[in-house]
Amino acid sequence: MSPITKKYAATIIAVVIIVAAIAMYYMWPKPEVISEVKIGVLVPLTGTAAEVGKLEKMGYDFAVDEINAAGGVKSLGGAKLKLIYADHGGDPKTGALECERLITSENVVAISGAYFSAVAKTSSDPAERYEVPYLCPDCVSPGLTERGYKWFFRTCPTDVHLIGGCFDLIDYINEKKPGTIKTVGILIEDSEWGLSCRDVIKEYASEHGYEVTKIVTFHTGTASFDVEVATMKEANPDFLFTGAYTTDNILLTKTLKRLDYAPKMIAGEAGTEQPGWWEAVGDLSYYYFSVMKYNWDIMKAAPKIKEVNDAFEAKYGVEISNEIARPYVSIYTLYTVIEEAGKVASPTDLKTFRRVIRDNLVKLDIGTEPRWMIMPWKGIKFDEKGQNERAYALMVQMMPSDGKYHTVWPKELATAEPMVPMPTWSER
Amino acid sequence: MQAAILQMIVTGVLLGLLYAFASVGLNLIWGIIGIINFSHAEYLMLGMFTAYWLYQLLGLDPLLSLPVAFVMTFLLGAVVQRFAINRVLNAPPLTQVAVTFALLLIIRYTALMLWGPDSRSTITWYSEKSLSVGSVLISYSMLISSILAALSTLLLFLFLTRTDTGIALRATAQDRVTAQLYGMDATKMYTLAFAIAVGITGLAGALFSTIYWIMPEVGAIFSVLMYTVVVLGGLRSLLGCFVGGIIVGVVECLSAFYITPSMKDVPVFLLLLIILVIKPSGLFARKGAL
Amino acid sequence: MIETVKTLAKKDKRLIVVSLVIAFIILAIPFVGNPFITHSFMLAFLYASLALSWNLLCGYCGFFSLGHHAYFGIGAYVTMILMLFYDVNPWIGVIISGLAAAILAAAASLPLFRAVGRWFTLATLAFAETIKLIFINWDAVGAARGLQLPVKPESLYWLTFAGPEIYYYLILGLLIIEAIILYRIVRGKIGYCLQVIREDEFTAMSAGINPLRYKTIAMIIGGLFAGITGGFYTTKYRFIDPFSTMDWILSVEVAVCGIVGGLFSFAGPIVGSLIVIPVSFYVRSVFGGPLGGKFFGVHRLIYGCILIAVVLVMPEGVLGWIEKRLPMSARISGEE
Repeated sequence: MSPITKKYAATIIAVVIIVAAIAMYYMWPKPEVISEVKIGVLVPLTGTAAEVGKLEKMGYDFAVDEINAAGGVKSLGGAKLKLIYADHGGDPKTGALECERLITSENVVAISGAYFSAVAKTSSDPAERYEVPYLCPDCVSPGLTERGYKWFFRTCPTDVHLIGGCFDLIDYINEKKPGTIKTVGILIEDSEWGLSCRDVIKEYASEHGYEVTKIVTFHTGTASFDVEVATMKEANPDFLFTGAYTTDNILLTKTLKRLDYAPKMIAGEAGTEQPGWWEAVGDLSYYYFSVMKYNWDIMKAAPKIKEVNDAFEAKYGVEISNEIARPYVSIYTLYTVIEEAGKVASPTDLKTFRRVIRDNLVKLDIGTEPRWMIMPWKGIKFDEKGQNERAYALMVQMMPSDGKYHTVWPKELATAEPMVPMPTWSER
Repeated sequence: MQAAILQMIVTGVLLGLLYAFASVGLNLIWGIIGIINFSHAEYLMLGMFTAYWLYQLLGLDPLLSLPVAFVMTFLLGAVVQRFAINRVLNAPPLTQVAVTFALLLIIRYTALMLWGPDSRSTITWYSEKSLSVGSVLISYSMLISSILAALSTLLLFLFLTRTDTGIALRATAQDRVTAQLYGMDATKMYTLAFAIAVGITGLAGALFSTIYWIMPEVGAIFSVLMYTVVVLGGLRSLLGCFVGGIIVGVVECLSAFYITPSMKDVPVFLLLLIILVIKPSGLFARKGAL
Repeated sequence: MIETVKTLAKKDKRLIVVSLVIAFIILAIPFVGNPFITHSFMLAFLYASLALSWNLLCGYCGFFSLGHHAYFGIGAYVTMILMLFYDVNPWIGVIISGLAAAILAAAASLPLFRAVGRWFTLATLAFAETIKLIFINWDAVGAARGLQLPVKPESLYWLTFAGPEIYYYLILGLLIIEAIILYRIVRGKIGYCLQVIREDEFTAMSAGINPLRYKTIAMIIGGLFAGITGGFYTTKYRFIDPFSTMDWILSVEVAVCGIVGGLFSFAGPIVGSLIVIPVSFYVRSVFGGPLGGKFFGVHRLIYGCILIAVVLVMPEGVLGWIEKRLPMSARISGEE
C-alpha cells in the first residue's frame, strides 16, 4: 500500500472505531444500581416565573433532604430519593421535551411539575404515552384533570375550589352587609390558566347570582396596563378579580394606584400569592384579597406545621409559603407511594415500578395526621379523574395592621374578618 | 366616555415618549453603523439594574443615578463594539444578526445568573402619585421621565449638531469613505456612536426603573416595540423617532380601548406594515441627515 | 459543496467512503442512541428543512426574511385543525398545510416585496407578528391556549407514536426529498435568476428577468415546504399554540442555523442545523438542570458564548470556512 492510501485507510478505520465505540456505550447494559430512586421535576428556573421556580426548588429540596436524612426509601434498602430538575422556562414545548428526556434518558420513576398549566398540559402528554405517573402539585386549570388521562394526578385544589371559595366569601360579606357586592369584573391573562379561570368565574358568578359586567384579557409580558385599568375603571364593578402572574401583577397594582382606581373589593390569584409581589409593591397590596393554598397563619391551627416551618426557616431563612409548601407535600406523597411500591417491585424494572406507583396513587388515602401534611386540606385521595378530592383553598386578605396575609375564609380557619370596602388610594 | 378617551390619548403620548426615548439608541446604531442590533433592549435592562443597585446600596434616587447609568452602559457599549461588532461590520448582515443575538443571550443570562430572577422595583417619593389635570390623571414618574427624556434628546441633538465630534459622527454616517479621506477614524467613530447609543438606552432604562419593574428578562418585552418605533419614525431622524414613539403609544392605547386590550398591538403592526410598504424608510427619514 | 464533493470524489474514493460512513451513522442513530439524542437530531432535521426553505429567499436571492416561521405556524395549525376537528389524517393534512402556507406566501409577497433591504426584513417580522397576534385572539382555534391532540393509540395512519424514532426517519425523509427538489430548482433557471437578482436587480431587469415574479416564486416555494414541515411538527408534538409556532425567535433560530452553516452554499443550512440544535440541547441538558438550579439561565449563557465564538471565528459559516481551506483546484468558486 502506498503511504497515501495507508493514511486514508487509517482515517476510515478510526471513524469506524469511533462509531462502534459510541454504539457500544449506549447498548452496553447498565449495572443495576438502586442506591437511588429518581424523580423528575419540571420547574420554571428561567423565564417570567423564575422566582416561583426558586421557591419551589427550596420546597422540593427540603422535603427530599428530610426524607433522606430519615433513612430514605426503607423498602428499597434505604435508597436515597434523588430529584432531577429540568427547566421549562415557561415554554410548553420545552416542557414536553424535557419531560421526555427525564423519562427516557434519566429513567425517573415519576414526574412532578410544572406550575404553568400550559406546560403541565403538554408535558403530561409524554408521561401518559410512556406510562409514567405525573403528579401535579401546583397547576390550577380544571381542564387538566378533564382529559381522561390515567397517569396524571393532581394534589392541589383547582380553580373550581379556589373560585368557589372566593364566591362563598363574597356571599358571606353580603350576608353581613347586604348589597355590598353586586357586580363582578374580570381582568385576566389570556393563557391556558387565565381563560379557563375566567370561564369558572363566569359560571360561579351566575350560580351565586352576581352579574359579570366587564371582562378584559391581556397578554402576559405587556409593557403597560394603562388601557386595561382605565377600561375597568370605566366599567366600575364592585368586585374585581385579577388573574396575573407575579411580574404582570406588580405592574398592574402600580397602575391601579397611578390611575387612582380602587374597586370596593379586589382579589387576585397566582401573582398575588407570591412574596415577590407584595414585597415589590409594599403597602399598595393592603386590602387585597387573594386565593391561597397555604398561609402562614395556618400554623395556629396545627402546631406540627409550625415545627416544619421552623425547621425550614432555620435552613433557608424564609418562612414557608405557597410555592414551597405544595412541592413539599407532593414529594412526600410520592415518597409514601414509593415506599409502598418498593415492597413489591424495584426500579430496575422501570415499567412495572411505575405502574405500581400509579396503582398506589389510585389507592392512596391520607388524612391530616402525617407530619408532612402542612396544607390546610382534609388529606389526599384522588378521584377517578386524578384530582385530590380533599383539597381546598383559602381566601386571605392583606391586612394593613401588619402587612401580612390573614386567612378570612373558610370560617373554621379564619383568623380575621374581611375588610370591605377597600378605602380609596387617597384615604390611606 | 369623553374623559376616558382623553385619558387614553394623554397616556398614549406619555408612554409613546418613553418608548421613543428607549428607541433613540437603536435608531442611532442603525442609522450610523447600519446593523440590526438584536441585543439593544438588554442595555435598557442594564440601565434599570444600575439604577436599582445604586438605589439599594446607596439610597440614591434613580433620577440622580442617570449619569452613572449612562456612563456604565457607555463603557460596556464601547467594549462590545470594539471586540464584537467591529469584526462583523463588513460581514453579511446575517452574521451581524447572529452576533447581536448571541450578545443578547450573553448579557441577559449573565444578568440572570448574577442577580437572580426576582423582580424588583424602586420606591420613591413620587412613585405612583398622579397629577390631576381636569379629569385626566398624569403619573408623576411618567411626567418626570418624559421631561428628562426630552431634555436628554435635546442634549444629544446639540452634541450631534454643534460639537466637532458630533459633526464628525454624522459625516462618517453619511459617507464613510469621504470622511476617512478627511482624516476621520471610522473605527473610532463607530465605537463612539455605538457607545453613545447604548448609553442613552441605559439612561432610558434608569428612567424606566421608576415606572416598571426590574428583572433580567425585561428586554424581551421591549425589543419588538423598539423596532416598531424606529421603523415608524424613520432612520437618522431624532424627531422622527419621537413621533414614531408617540404614534405607537397612542395607537396602542386607542386600539386597546376601542377594540380590546389583547389586540392592542395589531393596529400598530398593521400600521408598520403599511408604512414599510409605502415609505420604507419611515415617516421622517432623510438621507444622511440627523 | 456538492460539486466540490463530486469533483473530489472523482479524484479519490476517500470522500465516497466518508460520505457512506456519515450516512450510515445518521441512519443508525435511533438504534444506538437513546430517545433524547434521537429527538434532538430529529429536531435538527426539522430546523434543517426550515433553514433550507428559508435560504432559497435569503442566500440565493439576498432577501433576509424574519417571517418565515409564519408559514411554519400556519402549516402546523392547518394540520392540527384538520386532525382535531375534521378527522383528516395527517398524511393528507400536511399536503393541505403546505398549500395553505403557499397561498399565504403568495398573498404576502405582494405587499412585502415593495420593501427592500433591511426594511424587507422588518416587514416580514411585522407580518409574522400580526399573524401571531391574530391567532392569539382567535378563539375558534384555541386562541392563546393552543390546541392539543388527545392521546391516541400508536398508528402509522394517524402518525401517533410515543417515541421519536419514527418521526426521526419521517423528518429525515422530508429533508432529503426537499433537498433534492430544491437542489434541482436552484441549479435550474429559477436558481439562476434568483442569484442574478441578488447581485443586482436592475441588471436582472435589463436581462429580461422580472424580479418580482421570481422573488414571489421563491417565497411561495419556501412557504410550501415550511408549511409541510409545520404539519409534521404537529404530529410529533401534538400541542401547538401561537407562541411555540409563530414567535419570531423561531425565525432567528432558523437564521442562526443558516448563518453558522454558511448561507452561500446549498448544504450550509443543513450543516448549520446539525451543529446548532444538538449543541443547544446538549448544553441545556448538561447545564440547565443541575447547575441551572444554582445559577439560573447558565445554559442559555453558554449557548450564547458558543454562538458568538463560532460566528466571530467563522463569519462566513462553517462550510464557507472549510471551502476557504480547501486547495484551489478542489474549490468551485462563486455561488452554489
